[in-house]
Amino acid sequence: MTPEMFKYIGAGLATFGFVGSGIGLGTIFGSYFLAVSRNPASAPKFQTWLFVGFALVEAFGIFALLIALMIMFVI
Amino acid sequence: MAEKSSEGEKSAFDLMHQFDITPLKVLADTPFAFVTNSAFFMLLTVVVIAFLMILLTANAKVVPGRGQTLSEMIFDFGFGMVDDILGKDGRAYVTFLLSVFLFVFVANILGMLPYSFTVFSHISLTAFMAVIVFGMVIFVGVSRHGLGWFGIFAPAGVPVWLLPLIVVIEIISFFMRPLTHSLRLFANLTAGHIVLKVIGTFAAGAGATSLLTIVGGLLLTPVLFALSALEYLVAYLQAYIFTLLAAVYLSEAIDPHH
Repeated sequence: MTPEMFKYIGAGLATFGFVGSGIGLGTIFGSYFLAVSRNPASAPKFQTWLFVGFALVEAFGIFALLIALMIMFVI
Repeated sequence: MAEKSSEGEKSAFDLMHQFDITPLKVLADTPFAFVTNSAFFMLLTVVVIAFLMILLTANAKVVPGRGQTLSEMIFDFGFGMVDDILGKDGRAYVTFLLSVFLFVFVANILGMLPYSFTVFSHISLTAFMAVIVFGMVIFVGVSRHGLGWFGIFAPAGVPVWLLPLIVVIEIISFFMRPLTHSLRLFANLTAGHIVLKVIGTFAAGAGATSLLTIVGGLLLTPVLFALSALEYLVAYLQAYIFTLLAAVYLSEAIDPHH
């Protein structure tokens, strides 16, 4: 095993951060569909904030990606 | 394909080659030799937006035609988003937000064309856009509320013993914003185009001689179509989210106590 190999393994492990992001996104969209199926008239009201929540949750996945990219290309 | 990418890596199919910034070969012997493909596509984006809007609103009437209806839909979209998030007070910022949206959206769509260059697949550009938004938020906040605007770092109703911790967390999350703001756009576009390239390389194998690549290529061609459709969705969605987040950040600058 050369140090180069450990770098690739580390970058792959860093992408595990997306697990949390995926769970969060599932919760957000699931809740949105539950809310809208109970009260279809409320769909436009939630839609904007759905995407804001989507973006904020995705940010944590992006931090993981950032660390993976840093391991791959910076260090 | 066989050329070296900027990373100096070589492989059978070079995934990163599509993101290389190179001076345009057409202009090599002219005084405009410094124009890169990135600069060219940014310029093209601006030209497309400007011509489209000028063309659509050239002879505006009270009863709109087809083109004018389209332009009014674009403006209604911008005003709707601003009214949702910033309230009536934020209508002054609709030009800024709509410009950001149109620039990102049209650049992404142009990047989807074959042999074109995806401008926002470079973090330098997305970071530039995010820093503009970040600077705008601070400028608007300070100019509207004075230095007291920095009180957003200490939210009301927090127990005093918790304040030092909360302030530190708030400051860190505030300065992380341009980072996530820019990385989201960059990561989505780069990842999407790499996936397209991978599937596209397999699908191009349908024209090869080996039986395996022909079967694999024919199987993967519908996947390529579906992924292209998904990429157009991503192109719109990421432009929308970029603008939406800019509006949300601006809303904190306009009205910090809501």
